[in-house]
Amino acid sequence: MNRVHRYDLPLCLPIFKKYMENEKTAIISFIIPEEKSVRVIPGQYFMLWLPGNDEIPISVNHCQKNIISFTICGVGPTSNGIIEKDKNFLLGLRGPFGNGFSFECKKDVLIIAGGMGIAPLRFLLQQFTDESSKSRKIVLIQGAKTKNELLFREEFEQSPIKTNFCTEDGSYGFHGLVSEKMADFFDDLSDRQLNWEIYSCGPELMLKEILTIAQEHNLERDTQICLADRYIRCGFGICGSCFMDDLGLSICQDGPVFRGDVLSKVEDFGKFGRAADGSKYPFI
Amino acid sequence: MMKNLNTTINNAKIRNPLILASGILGSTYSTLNRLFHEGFGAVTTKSIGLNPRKGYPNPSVIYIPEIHSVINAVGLANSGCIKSGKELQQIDSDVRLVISLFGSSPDEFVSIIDCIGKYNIKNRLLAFELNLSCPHVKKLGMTVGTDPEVVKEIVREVKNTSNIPIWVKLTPNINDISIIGKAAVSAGADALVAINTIKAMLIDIKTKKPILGNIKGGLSGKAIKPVGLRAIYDLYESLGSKVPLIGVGGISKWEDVVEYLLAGACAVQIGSVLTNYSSPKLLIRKLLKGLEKYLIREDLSLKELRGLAHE
Repeated sequence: MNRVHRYDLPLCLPIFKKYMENEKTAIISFIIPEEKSVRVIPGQYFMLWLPGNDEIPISVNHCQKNIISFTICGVGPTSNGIIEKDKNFLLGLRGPFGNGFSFECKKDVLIIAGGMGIAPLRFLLQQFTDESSKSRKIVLIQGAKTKNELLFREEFEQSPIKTNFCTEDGSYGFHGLVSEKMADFFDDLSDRQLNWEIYSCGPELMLKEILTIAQEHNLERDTQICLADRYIRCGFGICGSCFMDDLGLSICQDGPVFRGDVLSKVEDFGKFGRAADGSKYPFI
Repeated sequence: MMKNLNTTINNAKIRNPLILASGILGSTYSTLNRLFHEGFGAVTTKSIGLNPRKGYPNPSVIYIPEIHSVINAVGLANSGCIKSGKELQQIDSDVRLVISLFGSSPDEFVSIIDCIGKYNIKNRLLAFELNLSCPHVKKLGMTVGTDPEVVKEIVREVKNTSNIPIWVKLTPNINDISIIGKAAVSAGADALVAINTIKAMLIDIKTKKPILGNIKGGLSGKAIKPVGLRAIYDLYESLGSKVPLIGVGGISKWEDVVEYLLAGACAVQIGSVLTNYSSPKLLIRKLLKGLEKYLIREDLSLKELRGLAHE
């Protein structure tokens, strides 16, 4: 682990820009001083500190040159506290933490995002679309409960990638779940020789279904899954709060991105999370 | 030639003197299983209390690179003795387990031990380790571990309840650690563990605010090794070789283990250094190999090494 490339103590930076993507979701960006420049891999996350309040894990949705940005959905007191803040307010950044996506492959790419899970995948998509080679297929399946929760929808519609939107209420695109769309996608493929790398992030129950479908097509090892809705405390694998049974892997350091063949051996995946007090709770 | 690294604490034998310290990785049965199988002689749970506690807000655990140390104010987060007891039943049968407990009164400790006693863990249990860092119920602003009378009372009550060995983990945040050590031993403590974290804090100069959610916390890691070493030295000096001492604080290499043994420890606990290791297995192997080679070079047994710095 190379510590030069991360902030162990919170690096406090003024908010450079903030805009609301919808009524409860903010995009907040910061300018990183040159002497503090850091390499961030899509899927990695930072602990975002609201001084005097609390600190929460947030994945990076964009990082280029000296600008880093995060997508924050107001779900609790800290996230709501953060999205209320405006330009120049000081927030602390610890990170980047965890293992991100591996995107060196030359295969066709299927990206499946549910709700807020689009944030790290948007950053990942930029890596692929920045490539000069256009020889491979890139397909995005993005789902949300309703139309205005399809974050970055207009941006994706204008991009060259093939995008399939899904909403649970049918207000935009396919009326149904991303997992249903994914199943249809593979059923409709004429080529039986599947040469796809699957990337997914979203609610854990959705991810569990994505993995099941990937397994049906023998793509378990070609699936990278980013776990997003779990409690994280320290970020560097020492406090033990986010470990999954029964392999004893941490979300914060071993993850949050895992390959499907690893996750399929994790008993807790899609079944149990752990609360701040360490007790287990069922996802269903 | 191979050196025997078996270690005896009270009458129990463990395969080597390296024990996972409390509060590091020890909050789930899976990690405790994993760390034992990766080579520790025994593993200690994160402290368990009577009731569930979600602990303090974050940031609650922070690495300080310039001193290779960790500051924390987790606030004794735990799922309570009922859920913890249930969970610990899933510990593999070959694991040697130390269960760390915290409480703010003798009655509370006794209730937790009674509660845990209902679960099928005993055959793996090496000891209960009493974490005395809780605030005192009656004496405001004081932690239970800083008052020799309270320590005596807790240890006495706990010893009356349980026939499992009782280890007492001592705080360094006191003028003379051996006073508390003596009090614990006089009340029947089977071993002493030293030291717990040192009171500490961090302030961010841009926001001008304390960084830890709880404002103040405890320091562990490399920076505290000389303090831990001194504590073990003092305890050995005042209690002699009869009382097993377990050294903890800032161990990151085999030389540190040797230092603690020379100061008077018969085993050590390891925690914060795991921050830098994605594979605890490699670290444990390195420490044990270094220790073994040293013993061969010096032609000493583990037992003979203990306390030599006092001669």
